[in-house]
Formats: sequence, structure tokens, C-alpha cells
Amino acid sequence: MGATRLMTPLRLLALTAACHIVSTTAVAQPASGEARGLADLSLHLNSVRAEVEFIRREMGRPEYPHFEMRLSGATPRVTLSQALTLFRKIDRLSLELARQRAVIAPTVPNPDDFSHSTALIERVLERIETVKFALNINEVAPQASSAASVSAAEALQSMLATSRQVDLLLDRRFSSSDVFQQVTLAINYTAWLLQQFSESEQIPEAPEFERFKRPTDVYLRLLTCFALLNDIAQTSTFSTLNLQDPREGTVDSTSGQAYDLASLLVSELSYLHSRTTAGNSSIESYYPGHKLPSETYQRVGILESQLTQLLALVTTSPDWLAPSMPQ
Amino acid sequence: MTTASEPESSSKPARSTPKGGIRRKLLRSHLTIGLIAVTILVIGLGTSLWIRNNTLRTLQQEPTADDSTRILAGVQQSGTALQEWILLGDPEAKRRRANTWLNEIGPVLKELGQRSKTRTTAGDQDRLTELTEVLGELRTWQWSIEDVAQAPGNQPARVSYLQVVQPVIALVTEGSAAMLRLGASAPNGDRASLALLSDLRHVLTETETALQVFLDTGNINDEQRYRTYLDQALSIMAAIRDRQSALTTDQQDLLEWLDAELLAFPSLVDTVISERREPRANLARHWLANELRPREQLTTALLESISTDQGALIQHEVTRVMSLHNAIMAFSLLLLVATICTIWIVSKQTADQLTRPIAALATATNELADGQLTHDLPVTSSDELGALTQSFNTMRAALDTTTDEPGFSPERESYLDRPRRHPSTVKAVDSAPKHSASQDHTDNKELGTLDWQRALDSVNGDREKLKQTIDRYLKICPQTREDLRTAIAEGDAAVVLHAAQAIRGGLDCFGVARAAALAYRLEEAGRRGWLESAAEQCIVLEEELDSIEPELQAFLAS
Repeated sequence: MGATRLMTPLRLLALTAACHIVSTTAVAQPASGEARGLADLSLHLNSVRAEVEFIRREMGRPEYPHFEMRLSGATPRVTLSQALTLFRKIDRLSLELARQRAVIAPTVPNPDDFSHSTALIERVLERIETVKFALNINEVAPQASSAASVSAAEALQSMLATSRQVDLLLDRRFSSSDVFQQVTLAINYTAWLLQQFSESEQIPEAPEFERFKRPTDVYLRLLTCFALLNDIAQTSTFSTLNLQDPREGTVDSTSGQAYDLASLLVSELSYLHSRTTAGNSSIESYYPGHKLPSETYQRVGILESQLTQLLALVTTSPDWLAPSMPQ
Repeated sequence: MTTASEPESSSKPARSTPKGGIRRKLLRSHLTIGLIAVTILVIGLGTSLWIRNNTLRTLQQEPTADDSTRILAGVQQSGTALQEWILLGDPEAKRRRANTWLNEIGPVLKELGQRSKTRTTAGDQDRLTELTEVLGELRTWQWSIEDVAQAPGNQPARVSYLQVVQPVIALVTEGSAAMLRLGASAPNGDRASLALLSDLRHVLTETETALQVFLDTGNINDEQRYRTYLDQALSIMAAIRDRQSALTTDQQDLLEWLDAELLAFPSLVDTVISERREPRANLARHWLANELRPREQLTTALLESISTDQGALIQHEVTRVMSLHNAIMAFSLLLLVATICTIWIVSKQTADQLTRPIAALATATNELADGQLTHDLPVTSSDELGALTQSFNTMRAALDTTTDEPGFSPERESYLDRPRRHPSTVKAVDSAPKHSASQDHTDNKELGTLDWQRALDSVNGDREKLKQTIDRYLKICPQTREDLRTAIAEGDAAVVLHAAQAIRGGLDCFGVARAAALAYRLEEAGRRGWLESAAEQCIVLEEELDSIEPELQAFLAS
């Protein structure tokens, strides 16, 4: 037992070193810093996907059906946010299977490259090793081939797919409560954004409670919020993630998917918040207890109302963000 | 005796009477006084309006202090409702807090914002902007605190305990129970191990209770109690492990699993304990103390500062208005005195201007009546008084001529009085001896006869020149007489005046005093517009003229 335990750090070290060697080899040809960073991230993500596949097979869980969202405008801050979501899910898996939890250091609000995302994915790999050890999985993922021309959108796609697969491995899956938690965080960020306009109502009245809502409804309402955010970005001339789900609600979405979307929203709103004068105010998330999808749907309604209000205000004063901050 | 030219010269100045001169002077005088009064009134009204506006402005600013008080009361009310919600979880308190913002603070803040637009100082604007921002933050934080207060996430340590630790405790308790069941059912079960397992279950229950108490209190003694129980549980587990060989195979499998769970247990609990030790162990209280209270204090300070400044501003305004009022009162008094003086001076000057010529005329009349007036009065104005003076001078000149004539005495007829006594004076003229055409030319000193010597003197003894004058007179005389008659018939005083003047001018040259006096009377009647007895006077005059005209014709023919 003790010998097996000793193996974990050694294997992790070997895996990290392998990733590093492969990424170094992959970027041997001249490439820009961003491309190099993306290639590095992509290699780490490939490893994560392969390792998660070992765990899935070992646990006998279903494979997540593949689909691609239409993404554009992925930035380091978006990939970092999704890496964080992936870490949270893997950490929960680690707790369930290995009784181990990890503490996450606060992330940079607006990273200028993909190295922060890569560093977080390395932590994900550490968690995966713990899970693999708990499940006595000895296979090691084959050395990932280099993805020289990977784009940020592709890296994000990969993260989203892995994140959804991990969600299927959990006993306690990411639920409506978790989405509620993220949405509450988004509401708080938006309230601080609205604070920039004296005539605004920071926390509008919650819309009427509607029964029998499903996670798909929550997901679709979050997509509406994302569309509003895109409009705000367009008016305020800053770049943000452009996201469209081609399924448009024809297939049932899970709370895990809604959580991913909500966390992306939080990431973008957090970025905007960091560009305002209220950027220093502390905003924390908290577990809201058990929440039904209908309750979460109602809460997303507040966010939608806030973003609608913000769009109207931003239209009248498009220079509301601090211009000197880098995007 | 005066020269023949004197009456002529006295009749030469234009006799057109200025109309409305005195009236204009009087009007100007009254208007000047009125204008001064109106000016004072306007100044007084303007000052009153100014003071009124100042006072109104002061009063309009006063509600700002009231708004501040209302906002402060609203903030306190919403804070109290929030506390109630945190402590009791009463939904009514939640509604009350929302309503306070909606119905109390929101509208007042809007009002305050609108009032602030009328403020002039940048300091006020900045403070109101800051107040709006702080109130917005306060509202957001109240909402967050309200949202978290009754949620499990309010105590992150308890959430971790429920999600992470409790499942492990449940599993260990369940595992040890399974081991007990297996041991009890085994024919040769190790009784000592069973006792240890029983102890383990008991100690685990105590451990869980101690941990829950610690999570409630955060007390270090409770944590210590938990650690003591945990040590005991681990010792018991070690003792069970020592007796592993005495256990059944199934029990050994379970023991390995239990051992792994119990091994992970302390580190998981340590995470929970560290979360409990953090200041954020109760998020609602933490945010209340660190986010809400400072903002409430800032709000109170800002509102108090606004209220204090408003009070000071109002006091300043009151002082300013009072001092202005005092200054205006003093100024008004000064103005009043100045006005009285000005009115007195203006009135006196106007009265002097008006009465001086009248007084001079009165004096001159007395002198004339006494026969002492030998000079003309100076004509100092072109108004009715000037005309009167002029006429007086003419009358005096005519009187001089008349008094020079033989048989005339001032007692018998006063020329000054005659027009005033009109028309009775006609009788006096009628009583004068009539000129007779049969009278001798030499008797030229008699009234009504021609004074040829005087006539010749008036032309320096030049007979030819006298003839020319007579000829001219005789040519215009019929027409002038006709004009006079017509004018009297039509009541045209101006033409009467001019016709009488023309006739008198000619007669003066010939030294016919009676006819000249009659013409003068008609002239005065025309000047004053007293034409009631002009027809009679005209008849008398024409009789006189008829009587002297043959003489003139005869002289012309000689």
C-alpha cells in the first residue's frame, strides 16, 4: 500500500515531464507566444481527456455525446475560467473517490496568456492521478501528439467536452444548486456593473416563479444572457466570447452544461467588473442549499433583467469602461 | 407825455398767447413729484422681491435636510429589517426591507438628486454623487446578505461538514456496524474485537457531536474535545487492526476499507475546522460587519454632513437676508428723507417760478394804480404769465398815452380795471365826449379829435410821410373793420384781437386817444375771448372812426 502511494507523485512527475517535453518539441519551430501557449495547453488537455477516459471506462460510466458549440473570441481569461470549472469537477470526483480535496488559489481576473490555464490544467492532472490511484488504474495515457495549429476556441471546446464527461463520472453531479450559485455570483458582478450608472436599479425584482422548469430552460435562459452580454460587448467595444449552441434546446441539457455556461458568464462579468471603478469590491459565492431548476430559472431571470438594463444604459454611454485597461 | 412811437412799439410785439405754458409747468412739477414717488416705490418693490427670492431660496434648500433625515431613517429601517431576517428568517422582514428601498429611500434619493441640480457648489454635487454610490452599494450588500443569511452556504464550514465529513462518518459508522454484525454472526467471533468495534462506534458518535458543537460555537475547548475523541477513535482503530488476525475474512475486507476512510477523516475535518476558524465562518455576519456597517457609517456621515452644511447654509442665508433687510431699511429711510427734501425743493421752485411774475404783476398793478409805474415789467417767460406781463406793459403804455391826453384823469377811468369790469366799462367809454366832425382842427388837444401836431411829430414833421401813413391806413381800414365785424359775429377772438390791434396801431400814430382806447378794449376782449359786448364796443369804435375819417381825408387832400 505504502509503495503504491509512493508511486503517485512519481507518476505525476513523469506525466508532467512528458507533457513538457512534448510541448517543447511541438513548438520547436518558430511560433508566436500565444500559439506556443495554446499548443502547451492543448497538449495538457489531450492528456486530461485521455486520463478521464481511463477513469470513465474503469467506472463503467457512459460516454458524453459529442457535440460542438459554435465558439469564437475565446481569450485566455475564458480558458482559465473553464479550466477552473474543470478543476472543481475533478476535485469533487477526487473527494468522492479518494477522499481528498484541494485548495485552489484565486485566479488572475484577466490573464494575458494561456500559461495560467495550463498551470491549472496541471493541477487537474494531479487530481486525476489521485483518482486513478484510488481506483487502482495503472494505465498511463499515451504521449499526446502535438497540436501545432490549435486555436483558443478549439482548446475551449476540448475543455468543455472534458468537463461534461467528468460531470457524468460524479456521484453528486453539478446540480441546479451549483448553477444557482454561479448565477448569484453573476448577479452580484452585474449589480456592481450597474452601480456605475446612478439611474440604475442594481438588483431588480425577481420575475414570477414558474413551476416545472428543467435544466434545459435554465440553459436556454443563460444563452439569452450570453447574447445580451455579447450585445453589451459590441456596444462597449470590448471583445468577449461568442457562443452559440447549434442544438438550440432541441436536446435536453444537463445542469452540468448550464453550470459550464454560467461559469463562462461569471468569467466575462468578472472581467468587466475588474475594468470598472468598483473592481476592488470582493464578491464571493456561497452554497445556496438545494435548489430546483425552477428556482434557478427564476434567478437567471434577475440576471437577464440586469443585463437588459445594462445594455440599455451602455447604449447611451458606450464609454463606461476604463479605457486604459488591456482587453 | 410820451412820444407817438412808444405806443406803436408797445403794440409791435407778437400778441399770440402761448397756450398751456403754466399748465405744462404745473403738469411737469406734479409729474416730477409723482416720478420720484414711483421711483421710490419701484426701488421698494424691487428690494422686497429680492428679499422674497432670497428667503424662498433658503426655504427651498431646507427640505434637503429633511430628505437627509428621511434617507437616514430608511437606511436604519432597512438595516433593522435585515437583522430581523438574519435572526428570525421572517419573510415579512424581507418584504419590509424591499419596501423601504422602494417606497422610502428610492423616491427621496431621486428628489435629492433633482434638488442637487439646482446646487451651485461642486462640494454638494460630489457628496450627493458619493451618497448615491454608497447607497447603491449598501443596497447590493443588503441583498447579498439577505440572500446568504438563511442559505446553508452562510456557514461554509457547515456545508463542507455536511458534504464532505458527514458522509465519511456515516460510512465508517455503517462499516463498523456491518463488522459487528459479521462478528456476532460468526461462530468463533473475537469478542474483544467486537467490544472494540462497539467502542469505536460510541467514540465516533462522540467525535461527531463534539465536531458539531465546535461548528456551532467555534470554541477551542470543543475543538479540543473533538481531537480527544478522534485520538481515541484512532487508538481503537489501531487496536482493532492489531487483532486483525482474529477477524473473519469479510471483517478484514471491511476493516481495510474502514481504515482508509478513517485515515482520510482527520484531514477532511481539518479543512472544515480551518473554515470554521476563518472570519468568513458566518458570511452574513462577516459581510454585515465588514461591508455593510462601514457603508452605513459612511452614509450616516455623508447625510449628517449634508444636513449640517444645509443648516449652516440656512443660517448664513438668514443672516445675509437680515443684514440686507437692515441695509434696505436704512436705505429706505435715507431715500424717504431725500425724497421729502427733493419734493420740497422742486415744489418750492415751481411755486416760486409760478408766483413770482404774478406777485410782480400785483405790485406793478398797485404802482400803476398809484400812477407810479413808469417802466415796463421784464418778460421772463413765454407762457401765459409772460403774455400777461406783455399785455400789462402794453396796457401801461396805452395808459401813459391816455393820461397824456387833455381831460383824462385816472380817477375817471382806470384802463387796468376796465377789461376786468367788462362789459359795464362800455358805459364809461360811452360817457366820454364824442368827436364831432364839425370841430375845428386846431382844437386838437380835445379827446376824440386828431392831434395833428403829435401825428407830425411821429413822422418827424414830414407831411408827405404822414400822408402816406394816412393813405395806407385808409386803404386797409375798411377791410379791417369788416374783418372785425365778421369776427365778432362769428365769435373768433383771435381775429378780433388782430383786427383791433391793427386799428389801434394806426390810431396811435394819429393821436386819437379815445378811439385808440376803444380799439384797445376790443383788443383785450379778443385776447381774453370776452366777446359778449364786443359788438357794442365795435359800434362805438366805428362811430369814432367814422368821425375821424373825413378829417383824415381832408388832410390827405390838403
